Amino acid sequence: MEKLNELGKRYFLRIKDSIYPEAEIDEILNEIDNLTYSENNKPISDSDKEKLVSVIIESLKGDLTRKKIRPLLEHREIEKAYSNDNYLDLIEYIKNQTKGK
Amino acid sequence: MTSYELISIIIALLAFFTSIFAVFLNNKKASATIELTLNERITTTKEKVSDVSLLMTPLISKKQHDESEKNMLASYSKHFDLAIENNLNAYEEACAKYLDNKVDKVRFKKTYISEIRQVVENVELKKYFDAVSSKYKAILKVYYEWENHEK
Repeated sequence: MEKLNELGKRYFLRIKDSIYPEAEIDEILNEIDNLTYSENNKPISDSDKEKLVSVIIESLKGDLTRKKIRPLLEHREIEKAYSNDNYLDLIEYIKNQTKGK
Repeated sequence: MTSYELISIIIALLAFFTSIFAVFLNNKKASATIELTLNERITTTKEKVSDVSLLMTPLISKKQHDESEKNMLASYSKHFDLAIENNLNAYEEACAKYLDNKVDKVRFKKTYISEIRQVVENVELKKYFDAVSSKYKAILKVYYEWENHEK
């Protein structure tokens, strides 16, 4: 049987790329429940099922953090404040030129 | 409890935390949308001031004005003041959203601290920011908060 880590990553990619992730998760859970070891064709143990699910969950959490939280945090950093220099210069210029006219 | 039930519980918990995360993201998106709208309005109203000044420039550059030109200049001056007020109204709305916690306060301050200071302290706009009679209370409140003035 394929290593649990690799299999978990493949399941994660299926969920990530799916248009309907919830349906994909249901399908994957059914698949996991019916998995067998390739060596002896016996159903996989409960602890291996839990390990597989853990790999999927950790991958999903990592993906959410990388794709959604980081850009938000980066967006908060603004290097330079906006300036009104030219705008206010223009107002001052027009006001000075129209005084007394 | 079967392994399937255990897995289902774990997935349900994950879904729960994901939905909380989605609410957090939606709030962030709403805040970003408000900030974009406010910024657009400020920019558009500034452009209007610039547009009116362009119309005024040929008249201003003339040394002598006939009666018709005087009337035109007076009319343009009114439009110029109106455009400035619209711009100040846009700042007022933005500052009100800041005070109501409708925007990301750290980002808003970083973006507008210089602009607000320049607007409030500008000599030609002084008449709009009298501490007692000013209509732009939110701008003044934000200005005093950021500049640490006691008020």
